[in-house]
Amino acid sequence: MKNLLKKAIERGQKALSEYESKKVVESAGVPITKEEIAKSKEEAVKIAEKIGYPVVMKGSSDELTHKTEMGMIRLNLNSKDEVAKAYEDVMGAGVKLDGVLVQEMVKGDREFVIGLSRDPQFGPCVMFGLGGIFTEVLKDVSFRVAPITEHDAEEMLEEIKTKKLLDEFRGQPKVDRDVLKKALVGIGNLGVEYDEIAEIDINPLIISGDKPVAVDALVILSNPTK
Amino acid sequence: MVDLDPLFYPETVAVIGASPTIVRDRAGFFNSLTQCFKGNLYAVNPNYDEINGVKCYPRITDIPERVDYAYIMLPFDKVNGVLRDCVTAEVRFVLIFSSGFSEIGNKELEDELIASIKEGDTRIVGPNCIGVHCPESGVVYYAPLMTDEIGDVGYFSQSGGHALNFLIRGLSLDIKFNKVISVGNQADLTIEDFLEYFANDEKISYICGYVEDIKDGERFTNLARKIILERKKPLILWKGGRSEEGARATQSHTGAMAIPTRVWDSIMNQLGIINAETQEEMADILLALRLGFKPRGLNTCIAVAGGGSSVELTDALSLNGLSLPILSPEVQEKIARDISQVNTSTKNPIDLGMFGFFPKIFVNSAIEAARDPGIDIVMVCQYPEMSRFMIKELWEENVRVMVEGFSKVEKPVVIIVPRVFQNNPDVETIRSGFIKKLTEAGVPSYPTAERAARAARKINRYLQFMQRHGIEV
Repeated sequence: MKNLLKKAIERGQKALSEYESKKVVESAGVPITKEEIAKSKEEAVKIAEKIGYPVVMKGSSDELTHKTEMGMIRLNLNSKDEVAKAYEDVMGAGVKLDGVLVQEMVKGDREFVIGLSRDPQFGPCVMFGLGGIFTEVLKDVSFRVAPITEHDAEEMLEEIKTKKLLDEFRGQPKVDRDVLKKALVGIGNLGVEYDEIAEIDINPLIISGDKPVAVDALVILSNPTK
Repeated sequence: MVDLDPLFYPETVAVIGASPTIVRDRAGFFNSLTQCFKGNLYAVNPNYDEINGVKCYPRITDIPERVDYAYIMLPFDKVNGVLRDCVTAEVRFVLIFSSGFSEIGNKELEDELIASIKEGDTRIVGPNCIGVHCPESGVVYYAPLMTDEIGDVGYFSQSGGHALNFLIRGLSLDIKFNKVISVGNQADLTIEDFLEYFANDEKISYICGYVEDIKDGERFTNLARKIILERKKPLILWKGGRSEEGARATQSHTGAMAIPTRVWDSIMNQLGIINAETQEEMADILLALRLGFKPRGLNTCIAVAGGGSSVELTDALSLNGLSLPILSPEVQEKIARDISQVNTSTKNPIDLGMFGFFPKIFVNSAIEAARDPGIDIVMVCQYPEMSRFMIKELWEENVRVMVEGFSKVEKPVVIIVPRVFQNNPDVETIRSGFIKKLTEAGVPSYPTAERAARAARKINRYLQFMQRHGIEV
């Protein structure tokens, strides 16, 4: 992991690709989507068949931080043909890519966000809050200075105003809080352990059934030797 | 740890820039010291041989003994030269009252001050502040703020104005301060140094502070843990700059580095620091803590005379985070025995109707409500204004019954004393007389239910934090 981060920094990367970012957050205990990078149309189809339809496809690059805005995302692909076409569309959009990420399509109405940021005085801070498109408008988030305990994590869940979304909600089960807490503790530990990580943004973290799954993630790098 | 004893308990004090004229004696500190300080006081000013009976020397280096605490009260461009004299004279602590340093962008000038003390043992408080207030040693901001009683509160402030205002506010509420320190730009000694000293100070049981930013998050975090969990002293902080515009104002006030309010609030919760949002709230919380107000939960019962008032108070308490469960049938029955069932309610809120003007019934319902296992806090509301419509002796007797009765309530109790009749000196006298008696009996009181609720909620949060850490308070 240290290696992955170091190499990325040496290459002059400012961030990790979604694929690599997810590997990092997965190592901290955050469940992620089933996904693989395809370098050809055929490979894309093969991966899609393996994961099972429907799938999502996203242009993969460490320079792409606004995939949606750049038209790099194709949702709800249900067949070989759709996957093949999506591959060609995304690769042919004129953006430098290292492949196309083929990903399981996670469905759920509840979206949260987990983040890591660095406060100039207090150091790494873990964040939890309401995710999806309302994150920035509602700013319903809570923070803790890392490292955090599971108890701190529990309090973070309790502090957001929309905490009722964690309970049974419109016929969907209670969210598995233990997974959320372990994820928060793990993200905090990443911040303490790796100076190379400047920020982490896991958004959305979709609740599928009762399980949280990171559908998108971004690790922004810092250069501690500078 | 920096030994700050000679700063708070100096044997010798010098005021550089002291002047006999009131106008030139900046902020009146010299005048206050001549009245209150019991140790050796010196003035430094080349234009005088003595000022108000105090021996005056041309330079600090001329004073025949070592000075513990020197005030520099000169224009900012003269400060550094005099500071170097202080280092030569081995002055232990120097307060730089003068402004005009990093707070207005003159960072270099402030760096020069630090360079000047590098060679010696002299430490700086400030610049841009009013330094120490410690009644025990007679080093006080103003003579009327001198108190004989040894207080139990340590207070630090990143603002001189707030140092003074909160001190005055606290004294008016019978809060006893042991030490107050205005830290200014913290060029040398910082909030963390004072926190550490207060943590170890046996006389200080409560620590509070006004902050705009924290310079050393890690040290601050460790100190907060030590103060709260090891020393078991409640730590109450009020942070200025909670709004975006306010944060901008702190930047020009103290050059503070803005910390987002959501992050700050979360950190306060994480560390078990009581997070006050206004100066008033900091005083409200401190007052209640010192009176031993310990709500173990938030289930509250409110009793008042009048249906409209009962609704008003219930709204205020509920909207500020307290719960008002319906009282158990047994408790309701006991309360109902004293009152007629016309135009009253015993559910919660308890509306005693006209019976609320009979202090014994009022007190009894509070005592009964407290016996309900589902109730954590008992609040009652009293309007001292009503005394204007009674004969004086009756009000005095009522106060006696209430004060005695409320102190017997077996759960945390708060009296809400709304200010209905505004700006009338006679009513204020009656109010403050009642409040003072309640305070003496250990019963906190507030002018609004909102303030009572907020103080209760924040103290409860602190108590839960302590309980979770297995510490009994």
